[in-house]
Amino acid sequence: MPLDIANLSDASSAAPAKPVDIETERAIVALIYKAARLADDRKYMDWLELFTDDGEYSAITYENLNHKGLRLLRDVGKTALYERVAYLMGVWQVPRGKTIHLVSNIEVTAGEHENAAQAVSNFIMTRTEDLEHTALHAAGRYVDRFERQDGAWLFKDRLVIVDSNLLPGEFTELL
Amino acid sequence: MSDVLIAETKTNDIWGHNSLNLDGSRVIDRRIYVDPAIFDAEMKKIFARTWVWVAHESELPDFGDYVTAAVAGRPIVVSRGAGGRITAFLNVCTHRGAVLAAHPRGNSAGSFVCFYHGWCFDTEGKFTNAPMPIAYGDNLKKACYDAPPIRHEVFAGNIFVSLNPDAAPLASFLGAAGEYIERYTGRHEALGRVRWLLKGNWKLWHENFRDNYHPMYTHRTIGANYQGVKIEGANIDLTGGHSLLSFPSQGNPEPVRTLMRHVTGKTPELPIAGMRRPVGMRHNIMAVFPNLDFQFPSTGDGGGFLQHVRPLSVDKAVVEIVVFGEAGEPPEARQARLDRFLDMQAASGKISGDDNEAARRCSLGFGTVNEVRWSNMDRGQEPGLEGGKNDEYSLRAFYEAYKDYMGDSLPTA
Repeated sequence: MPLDIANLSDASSAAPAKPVDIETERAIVALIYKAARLADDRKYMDWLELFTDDGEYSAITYENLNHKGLRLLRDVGKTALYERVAYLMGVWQVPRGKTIHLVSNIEVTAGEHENAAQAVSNFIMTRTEDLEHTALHAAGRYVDRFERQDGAWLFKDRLVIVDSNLLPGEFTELL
Repeated sequence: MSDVLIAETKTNDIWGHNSLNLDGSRVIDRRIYVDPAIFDAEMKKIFARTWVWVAHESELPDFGDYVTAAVAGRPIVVSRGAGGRITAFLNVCTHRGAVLAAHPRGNSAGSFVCFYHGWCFDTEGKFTNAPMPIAYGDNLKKACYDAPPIRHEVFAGNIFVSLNPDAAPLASFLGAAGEYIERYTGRHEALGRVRWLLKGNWKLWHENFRDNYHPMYTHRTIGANYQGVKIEGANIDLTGGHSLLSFPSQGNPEPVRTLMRHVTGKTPELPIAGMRRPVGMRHNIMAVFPNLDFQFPSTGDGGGFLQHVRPLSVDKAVVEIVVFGEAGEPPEARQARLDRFLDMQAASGKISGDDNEAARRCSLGFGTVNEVRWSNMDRGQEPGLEGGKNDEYSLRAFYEAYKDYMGDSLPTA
């Protein structure tokens, strides 16, 4: 079932109170951190492998989340995710900046079955361009759902809610 | 380039004396991208005199709904009042100067109440009341305290404003572009906006949508897609500063797959999202002077977008994209549009990402304006108003109008 963003005007509604066991929580938090590190290290093909085959990565501004739901992007499935990675690896001619993702306030809760989980977290992302000082690039919230396959947790979908009402001119980095 | 090479002026055009030995209508003086005095003149002579798009009617469906905008530095409110009537007025409290509406959009519930001292204005900006008015005696009746109205007109749902009471009627201003705007947005509703900061002069963004020479080089997937293809399509001066690019969807995904394999080391599966196009689709990119463009496909897909660029300073602007869907379209079509329409567009878009980079790089390059002053705008040698897709009739249409508006505010060669 796709994430129902129409009923997500307050993203905390995606996080019912049912807790997970400590082992699951550790694994999920480690997965969230790993996604951040791989994006920052530009290991995009490895980042891609953190998703299920039907995994989804999408982004929306907070303004549009609370309006009619116009997303910035929505990649569904490995082929679409691969295509984004190809753009990041050189199809775009935009220089890649040096990024740092800081993820915090992670709340992991149980999913619909024992091999499902979900989490909401906050993120701040900086970006450093050639010959430039480090700048705040994005801030917002991740709304994630996970699936355990063969004992390993993977992203089933990640929705990135971007707080900015005026995006930077270059906004092609992985969020 | 040495001054020795400057040809005799071929026309009376202010740019007729240039080092490229071209007619003045076929070059651009790069000082217009960097000179703050020219920027100030653009605000006065173009943005304060012409019609400027500010909103679509569908963004104000109910009584009291409003959106705010800025035109030539003036904050503006567009508001829906009784009987569905839309009005526009300066967004300012006539008492002490605070803006009346502080948000991009909202609902006034029928009254704009200034947060500072509580002065009240109706949905048309007319002053209705002030708290504790007895302290003014009868003096509030000695002047008009209405927020000044702004001339506005609605065309196919699009709300334009003009600060110029003498501007030609909107339909006359739009001319041949009006037919396309009617077709593109007449049955549509706005689904949302996304805006971003352009690191460059506002004209760089608007030019980009009149220039179809760049896509094969700036956007690597488009370049790959056109490999071995005889390019079709037209680049049309609609007169009045407006223009249209119309071209079929062409090419095949195989070179794009090769490109992606080259950059990733792995062969992608088909279909690649960016290559999914209905057979027979035509792209229509229409530019409206001075800062507006529409992109709507011809397939009856029902959706499209417009972009307008709002200058902030000589080297910064805000670009805003407004996405449209056809009113009453099936929920699945609407959802698909909401989910994926911006895949190619905006600051995160697979196409527009590179367009933003083009503006940034040109802005850096303009540091050489004293040494390399002229840009070539000469593509397409056939006389008349129409040439091939990659020609520059559209671009020349903009600058013909630009020079008319700017008059003697442009420095001579």
